[in-house]
Amino acid sequence: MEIPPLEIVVRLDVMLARRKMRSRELAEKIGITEQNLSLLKSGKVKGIRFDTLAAICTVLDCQPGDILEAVTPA
Amino acid sequence: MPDLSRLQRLSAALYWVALVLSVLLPVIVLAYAAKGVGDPASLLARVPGVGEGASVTRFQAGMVAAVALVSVLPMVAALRAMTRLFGRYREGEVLSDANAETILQIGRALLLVAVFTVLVPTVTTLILTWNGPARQLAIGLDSGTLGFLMAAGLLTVVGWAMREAARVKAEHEAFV
Repeated sequence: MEIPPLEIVVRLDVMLARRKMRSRELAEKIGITEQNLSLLKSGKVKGIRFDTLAAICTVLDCQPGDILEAVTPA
Repeated sequence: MPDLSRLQRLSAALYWVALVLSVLLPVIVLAYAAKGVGDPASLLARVPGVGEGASVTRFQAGMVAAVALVSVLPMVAALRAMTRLFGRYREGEVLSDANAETILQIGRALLLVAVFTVLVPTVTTLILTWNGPARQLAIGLDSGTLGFLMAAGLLTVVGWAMREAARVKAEHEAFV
């Protein structure tokens, strides 16, 4: 039986809304460009470095699981 | 950010050297070819192994000139490719697919240069001795030819390595 591949979805928008923080502010605090953060939010990146993930979690006071979610593609 | 200033400075200088040479080389060969056609006897002095007393017709001189002009094309192609490569290095574009392809083009052109350095003297001697008492066929392999062959091989390998580096860089850039 073949296991269907999962897709990792970035839920950064949700956490930003909960923390009432703008993308620009987060980008400045974690030291990446707003453009790269936008690419991350839209899932148009191949991956996220551990140090970037750690910085996001530190600033947003959350866990990686709050930002990333594995879903079955529709 | 990596420090590319040294690479950019040297590339800027080499860009102009390659550009000037790519223009000058065909002009020089054309001038020599015209001189040979104008004075066919002068060709004998430049080709070792051709016996004294041999005569050269204007047709033979024309053939030698044509061979010389064709033989310079791979070197001009290599220099033009170098101009493009150094131009991109000068602008700070280092690890790209385009550069890898250009390096491979230079390698292929230098391979042709090596082949021509063997073929041209052979064909030239054959043309000049065609109507003489004894036709000659002289094939030579010198250190210059081996140098071009090694350079061609080296650039081919470097081109492949650059292609791989460009792929890794593109993958790296897809991570945030």
